[in-house]
Amino acid sequence: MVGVDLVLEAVGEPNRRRLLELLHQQHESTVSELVRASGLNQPQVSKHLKVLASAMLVAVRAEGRHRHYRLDGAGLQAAHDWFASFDDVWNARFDALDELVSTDPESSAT
Amino acid sequence: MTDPTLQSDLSTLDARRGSTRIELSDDGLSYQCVRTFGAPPERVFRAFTDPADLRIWFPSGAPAGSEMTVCESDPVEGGRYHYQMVIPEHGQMAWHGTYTGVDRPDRLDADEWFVMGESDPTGPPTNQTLTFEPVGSGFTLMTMQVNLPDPEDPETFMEQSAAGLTSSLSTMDELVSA
Repeated sequence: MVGVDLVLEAVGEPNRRRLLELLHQQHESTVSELVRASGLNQPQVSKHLKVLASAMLVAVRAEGRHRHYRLDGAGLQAAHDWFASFDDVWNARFDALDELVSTDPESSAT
Repeated sequence: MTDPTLQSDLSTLDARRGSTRIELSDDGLSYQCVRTFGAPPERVFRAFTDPADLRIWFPSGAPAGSEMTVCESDPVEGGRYHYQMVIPEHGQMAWHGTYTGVDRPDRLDADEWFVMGESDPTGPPTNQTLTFEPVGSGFTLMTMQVNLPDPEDPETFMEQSAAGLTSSLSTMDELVSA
């Protein structure tokens, strides 16, 4: 499984999130298509794609001399799992809070 | 993700008592938690601001052996709060906050700085707003809105996100790797 640090660092940069959004909209894109759509220059896009690929957020498919980028589920799953883990923590905390306030004889709901 | 829109019937309210969902905004710079509690707003407000109450519920969800070493809260406008946990294998983490608005029992605004280790808080805070709305027969609908500072760099973003998002950041590794 891909490390969550890597994934969150990758998505912690606004231009990389923009590239992910573009890939989400377009399913598959070449670097030059991403350059046009993002307004970034080619070296920047390539650099960001490399970071995103290392975090398994994008996958690449070679076709002739073109490389087609698309979203990769592995990194997204890691990010999703990470955020979902906070649901668990908040649930535990708020369950405890609810237990505290709702067993208070003076103020519990009916 | 669940729809945060409140349904008025009690069965829905009751169902919501058992679940908390974090809704992250599309830009990743804010998130919202919605939850109902089985007591009126005044009681829930107190649970969020009274140190004796906080000591009971705030450490929940942290790994076994975790200890809440500091729990201070002065819920007046301009007042401070300071929570500190020591978590096995992860060390110390602290939440430093300033109450920027206190409207008991309806609303609480705060700026919060989260710190890993023993350093002092630095950088821009997260802005948090808690609202407590009476619903049903003595229930409270709480909405927690957290706005993260615009990230200057990924490290800041991650730290600030983690600050707001977790009671015990350290549990994240265990939780995702379990």
